[in-house]
Amino acid sequence: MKDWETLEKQMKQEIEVPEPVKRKMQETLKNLPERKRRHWNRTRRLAVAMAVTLLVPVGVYAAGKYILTARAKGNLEMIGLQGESEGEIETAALDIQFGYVPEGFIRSDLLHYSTTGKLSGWENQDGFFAGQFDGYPIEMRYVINKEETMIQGYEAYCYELDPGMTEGYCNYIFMNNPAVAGQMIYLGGMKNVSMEELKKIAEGLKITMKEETVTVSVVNWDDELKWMDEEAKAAAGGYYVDLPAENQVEGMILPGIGTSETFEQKEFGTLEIKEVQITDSVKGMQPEYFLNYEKDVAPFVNADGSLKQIERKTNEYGEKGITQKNEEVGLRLVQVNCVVTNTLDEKMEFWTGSVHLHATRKKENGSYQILNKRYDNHEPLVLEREYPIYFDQAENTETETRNHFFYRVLKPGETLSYTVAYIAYEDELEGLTFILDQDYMGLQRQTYEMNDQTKINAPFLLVQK
Amino acid sequence: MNELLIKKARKKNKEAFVELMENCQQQLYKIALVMLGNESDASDAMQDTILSCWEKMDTLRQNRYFQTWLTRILINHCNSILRERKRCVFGERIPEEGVVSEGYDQVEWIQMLENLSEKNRVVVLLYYGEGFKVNEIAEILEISSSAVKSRLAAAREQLRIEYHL
Repeated sequence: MKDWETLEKQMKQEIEVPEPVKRKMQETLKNLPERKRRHWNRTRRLAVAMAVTLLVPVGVYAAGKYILTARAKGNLEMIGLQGESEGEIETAALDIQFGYVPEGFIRSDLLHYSTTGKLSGWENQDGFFAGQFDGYPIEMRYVINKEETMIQGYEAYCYELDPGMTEGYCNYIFMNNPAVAGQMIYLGGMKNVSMEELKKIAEGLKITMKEETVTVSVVNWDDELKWMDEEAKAAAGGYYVDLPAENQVEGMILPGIGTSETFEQKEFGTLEIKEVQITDSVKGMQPEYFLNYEKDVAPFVNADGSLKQIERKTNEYGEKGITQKNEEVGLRLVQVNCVVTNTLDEKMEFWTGSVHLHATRKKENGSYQILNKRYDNHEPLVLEREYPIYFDQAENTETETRNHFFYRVLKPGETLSYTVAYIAYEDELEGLTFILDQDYMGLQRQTYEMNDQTKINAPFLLVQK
Repeated sequence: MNELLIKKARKKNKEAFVELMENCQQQLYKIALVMLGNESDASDAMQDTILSCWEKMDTLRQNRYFQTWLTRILINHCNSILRERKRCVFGERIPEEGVVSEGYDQVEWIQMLENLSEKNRVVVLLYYGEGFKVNEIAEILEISSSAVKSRLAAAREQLRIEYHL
């Protein structure tokens, strides 16, 4: 092996899956147990019917006895084929060829184009596709614009989703042939394909009917609406996590901050938080001690070193499902001067990120509730706020990946003074809290689970009294 | 098109699920092979993962977490196999470490990772090999982000010393 870069490259390479493994997988997929159909009793059906009345029908598009329909609840909308019978119908298979392709896009497979020739995905946010729509309901969230139009004699339903909230396809066109039941096409475009361009692609499609047929699903709105209702209810539980009052510590000393080299479950080492300063600027701080300053930090810093205002997106959960609030908010830098001591006679691995910073609010029962999780989780790394973004005593700063480990090995008895810095929102300073992450020491804590009221059993202290 | 497949598979569309699993096959195999060290156990872990995912697909709450969710299920199954192996180590079954298909012995890096502890090996693979972010690995392994970073640092240090990287 030559060097680390070679090793990294090799690790990224694909490994060929041996034939026996492929065969076993195919066999498993072929014999998947059938879906158990839900049989609802009368009461449940009534409940669903009532729920349906609360939902907003947003479109009914005629196509013989089978029509494209859409339903919405909060930010969730679904479109599917509705007809006189549930289940499936047969319709002619379509041959779809691209007539118009925007400049700079190349074919990645039969139905996909992208600028790199790779299949589009969340990672690259690049490209578009077109294909025959099988009628199985598609969910769309954060719809910001809808339009009904005609494209090539097909009724076309165009959906634009909020690109700030959508990872993946954010423009969709569903096309429905009004003359042939179940004959539908859909197109999706990533962020680099505007709705205008997607329409041009749709207009350029060469569509011919084949002799063979395909199966198209007919939506059962009872099932779908129930699913949508469950989605909204699940979301309404939120991500809130509690810090029980009995774990609050006074003073500025946190015990058990390190771990042995063998990750044994030991409590040793102490951390003293000497001073906390909250500023609105990075002026005077060394760029090389930041987590990838140019890439991750500089976009949030003005020319004079002050921190920028940003647009914060907050998810709010309620009867209408997930809705989003956008608001301008200022950033603050929380600088913390600390002293860590290895109290044992063996080496100690110390990771500065084992002290998390969280925004919290006090509840009536005296516990604190972590607020961070309610924000949109598409935030850049630096705005995660939980972990430090600056460490002036990092051991390894020679490469990007090592720099952000913020890690030091302390000799027996060694004491280290250092400064770390975190990012916080200006309107959350009151409840800022340091939490000692005990997982680092191999101690168990409850994990974050969506929909549950979970708690972290770990010592915590408020930054400001 | 995985995004659409996930949407459909969440609602138990079998065709979409099959296509989705086929798209993930390579990744599943790579992780299972690195964790378990042989083709046969990797294949068992993949089979268990597919069945678990099919059963639980409608419990996945957000499409974007599919990859971490799937990987977490796979790793849980791999861990079960590893636990089973440890139980059998004094019994009749001898673990088949290193029994792999043709061509695999050319993959030098897997052999290098074998020298790492199980917990450090999987973190290195997920971070460098599969491109997961630290917080995603934390979700997958149900440990903290700091533990992930610490394991990465320890693993790199070990590789650096042993192989002079």
